[in-house]
Amino acid sequence: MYLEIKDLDFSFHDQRVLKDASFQMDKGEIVALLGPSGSGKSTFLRILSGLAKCQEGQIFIHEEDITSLPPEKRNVGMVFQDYALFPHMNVKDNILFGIEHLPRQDRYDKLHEMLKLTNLVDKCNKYPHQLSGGEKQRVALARSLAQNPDLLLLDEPFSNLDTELKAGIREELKTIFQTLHTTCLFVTHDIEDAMAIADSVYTIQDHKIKKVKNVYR
Amino acid sequence: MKRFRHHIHSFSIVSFLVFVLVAIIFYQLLIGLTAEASEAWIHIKEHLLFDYISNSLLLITFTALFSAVFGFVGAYLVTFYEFPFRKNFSWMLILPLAVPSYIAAYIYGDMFSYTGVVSRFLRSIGIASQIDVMSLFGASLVFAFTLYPYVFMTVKSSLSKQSNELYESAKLLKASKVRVWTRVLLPLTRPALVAGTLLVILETLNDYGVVAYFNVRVFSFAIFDAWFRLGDVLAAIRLSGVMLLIVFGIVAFERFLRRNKVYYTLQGRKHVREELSNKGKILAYIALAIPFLFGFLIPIGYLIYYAFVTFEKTLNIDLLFVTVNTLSISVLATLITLFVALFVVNLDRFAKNKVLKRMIQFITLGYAIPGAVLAVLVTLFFLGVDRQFRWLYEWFHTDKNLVLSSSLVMLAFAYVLRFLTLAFSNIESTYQKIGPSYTEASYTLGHGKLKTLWKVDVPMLKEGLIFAFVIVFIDVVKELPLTLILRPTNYDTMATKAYQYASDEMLHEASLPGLLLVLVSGIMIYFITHRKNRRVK
Amino acid sequence: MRKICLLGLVTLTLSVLSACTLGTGSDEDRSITLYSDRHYESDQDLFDQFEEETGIKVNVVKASADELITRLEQEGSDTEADLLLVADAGRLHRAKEKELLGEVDSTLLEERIPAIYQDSDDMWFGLTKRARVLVYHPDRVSEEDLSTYEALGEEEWMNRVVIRSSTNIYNQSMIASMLALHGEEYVRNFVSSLVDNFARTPEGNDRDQAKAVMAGIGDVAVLNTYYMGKMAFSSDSYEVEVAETLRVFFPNQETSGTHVNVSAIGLTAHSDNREDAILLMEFLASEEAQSSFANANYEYPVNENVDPHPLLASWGDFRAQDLSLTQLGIYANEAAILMDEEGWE
Repeated sequence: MYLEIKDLDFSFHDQRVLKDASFQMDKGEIVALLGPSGSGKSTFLRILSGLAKCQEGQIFIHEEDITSLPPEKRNVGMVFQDYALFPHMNVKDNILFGIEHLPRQDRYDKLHEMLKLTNLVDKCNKYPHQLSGGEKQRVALARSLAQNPDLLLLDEPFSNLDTELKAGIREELKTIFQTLHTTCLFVTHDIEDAMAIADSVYTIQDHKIKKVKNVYR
Repeated sequence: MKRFRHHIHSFSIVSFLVFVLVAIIFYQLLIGLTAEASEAWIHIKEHLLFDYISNSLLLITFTALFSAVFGFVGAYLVTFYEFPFRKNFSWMLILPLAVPSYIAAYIYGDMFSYTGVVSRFLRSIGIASQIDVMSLFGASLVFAFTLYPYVFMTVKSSLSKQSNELYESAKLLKASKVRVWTRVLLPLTRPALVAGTLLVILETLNDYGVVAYFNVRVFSFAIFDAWFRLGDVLAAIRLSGVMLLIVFGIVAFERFLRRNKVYYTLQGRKHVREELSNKGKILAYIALAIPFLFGFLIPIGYLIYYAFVTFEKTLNIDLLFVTVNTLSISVLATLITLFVALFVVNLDRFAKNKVLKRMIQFITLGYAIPGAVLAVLVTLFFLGVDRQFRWLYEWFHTDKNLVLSSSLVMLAFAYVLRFLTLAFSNIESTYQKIGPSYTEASYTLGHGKLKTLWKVDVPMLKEGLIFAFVIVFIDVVKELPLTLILRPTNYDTMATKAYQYASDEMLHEASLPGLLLVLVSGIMIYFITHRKNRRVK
Repeated sequence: MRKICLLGLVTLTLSVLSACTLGTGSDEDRSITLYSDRHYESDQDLFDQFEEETGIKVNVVKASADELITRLEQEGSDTEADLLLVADAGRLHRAKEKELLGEVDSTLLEERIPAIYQDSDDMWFGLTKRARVLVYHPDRVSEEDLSTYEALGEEEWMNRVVIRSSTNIYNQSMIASMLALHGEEYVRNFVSSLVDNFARTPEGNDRDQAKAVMAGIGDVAVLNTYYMGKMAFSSDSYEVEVAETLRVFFPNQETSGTHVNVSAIGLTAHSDNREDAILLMEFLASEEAQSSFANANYEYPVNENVDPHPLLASWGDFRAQDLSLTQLGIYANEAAILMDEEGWE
């Protein structure tokens, strides 16, 4: 098993969100977590990324127990709902931010790879406030993908975008993930978005994570 | 156990250190309180304590009332109405903050004394009687004129964040002006009004210069009196204990009032301002001119005039040293304070643990401790430390045995403890505007806490940090009671120099150091209010 | 970038913090440290003269009297101070009680300073004198109306007396002197009748009392002689007017004498430079130094061979209380408590 979660317990402000929850993912799998706002899906992402701590339970990636690691030590990337692009850095520096520890040549190779992949080559010197919503998302994506994350998390990737753009973006995202074989988990409240990209769709029910259906292509 | 390790990082280490220091200070207080009551204390308790309590309460009530009125009216006019010079008033109304209350006290005390300007003028038009300004009431006016900017700033910030739409809706619902005021405006501004007034109250209780000069029998006066005149440290500590109870009561009351935090819409719309009629303009100018006049113009006019008259006596090398001293210690103390505050705020941001939250709340109680009290406790603390480290000093072969307690370390330490909360709340609110996502994004990109703080948070906090720097800096420069007691020998700041001249009854000579002080602070205020900032203040 | 800032901060910190600890120590061959509450330039001239004559440098630490005593107390045996010079014998007594002073056996000092202006145990020595006098406006009060401090408690002075707060040490010492001379009951009556005659609740300093008389708020004020001197030579023309209009009266000439107090100097208990310090004490009491030293603050020189400032001389001679000033300290606490009890604010 690539990603495994065992016996997860999580409560927030005395509200129980998850109890004895288990979950598994294969490498390269794309999973959608479906549900209305407030059902705890974003919280689940935060637990996986290390930004929130669960009361009980364990998380394994590659059979390694990462439960007690802080976010900066896990190789889990996250694309936030509002993208959180550093406003005082341009596109290039944003993307380079997560790979500063690499030797110079590798860094720039990776940068170019990401820019090409997300179609941002001609925007690399622009600042976040000069970009459109869709462009910002691509930068956030490139930034997280640059560090070859074991797992990529996306929080409501479609909610901030205009509907006309959505179809195009869905296709783009699917292509990117498949090209890189990224293991990816995203949360959304829109079932069509979920069905369009994901291999499997889950929801949170009775404090547990349950598969809804396998998506047939 | 592994989970506990997460909690050990630079933010928590620094915060814990500060917590321990504050706790030790309070412990000193407890020890002093449990010692046997001295004769002086018994005497104080029987004859003077009641007066101290009632005078203190009376003083802060009047001061709070006046400051609230000045501050609120100013903020309201400047936010909702348009008139010539409105923009100028927006920042000029903050200027009185540059004038320390005790300097204003010396000025008005002198102006209204027999040989002062006002009395001379009155005599020249045939009025023989003198207006007596050196009373509790006079003191509260002096405080109000120099401290109302705290209320002005908090209310203005709160008003400008709220969108116009609230008031427009109320008006469309046919609410009269009065109703708009009482049902919408005042309730929404209440937290800001209370927070600003609380700052004013704490500053008033902290002051020593004004009350000593006007002979107003309040707690800070009593503490100095017991400690220095009666030579009784223990009595001073007991008085400190009583005073702290009152102060904490007030602070707890304010926190209680604030329990339902109102979250403002962060995106404030630009206010559509109403034009004033000519009659309205006149009234507005009067309302705005009064605090500005008494809080800034008159004091600085006096200071400039008498600085000229006396500069031959006062402009010397000594003053140069004093200025350098003031600026260097103030910059240093402010930087350290900001640094520590940054760490503590970061601990607070992500701490969910109740114990941690309590620890942080405890740390931020520092600002409620009045300067005189803090001075007593810090002195005792450092004397103790010096005695413990005697072996270390001997090892270094220094002749001095009182290394720490005779140096600036003690003073810097006290400044940090006292002003930490000011920096803390400013930085905290700036962080709230930014939100946690950027910091979190940086963590998911593999950067640790310190690196994130430096590379991501600080650049984004820049405007807030600059503002916090100036606010703390001005307070440190103006600070008097702590500095008087804790400074090393022969070390003077502009504040203590002015105080020394005034208490030697050389009021006019106090003008030059006083003027320098006001100029330094005034320039800083001008600086922050005129920065081109991309973020809304 | 960050490393530079950090380095800069550390350097700044160290330099600022050490600037002070380095500053106060002195590596001169011979030097003494004087804790003084006086701030006159002429004092520095005297110290320079002293250094020329003896080769001993005088380091002066200036602060308010109470601060100095408290500091001395806290420093304990680690103090660098050799001498303490503060105004008011009551304070020196307090310092003596806290064991901060040391005994000095010097014939020169005994010669130069009258016995009542020295501590009975030779722990402190008065250097300058000031009298606490009545100051009145000649248009409203004539000299014949005045006699004693006690008389101010009588009915005819209702609402006409101005004096500063009881928390001030000058008043405390004055009351202490009366306790020493007349006992508690007498003084209690005096204070309560005096308080009844206050024209206003005490406020302001001594000079403000004089100004209040000028303004007509009161008719007679109680203040120290040197304030009249200061006002007479003030750069403020109105203060000069006050000094020239109001008259000085020395009370109790027929009875116990006008209350006199001193600015005095003492050797600290833990001084490391006793002999050098005593030399300075003797110097300041000598005819050479007394004139300049006393005139700086319009006070009377304690050395009887030295004439006072012309202005002071113009007020004439007067009879002072025949009281050893040690008593001022002994009765200080009682005086403070009594004043509080009788409602003197």
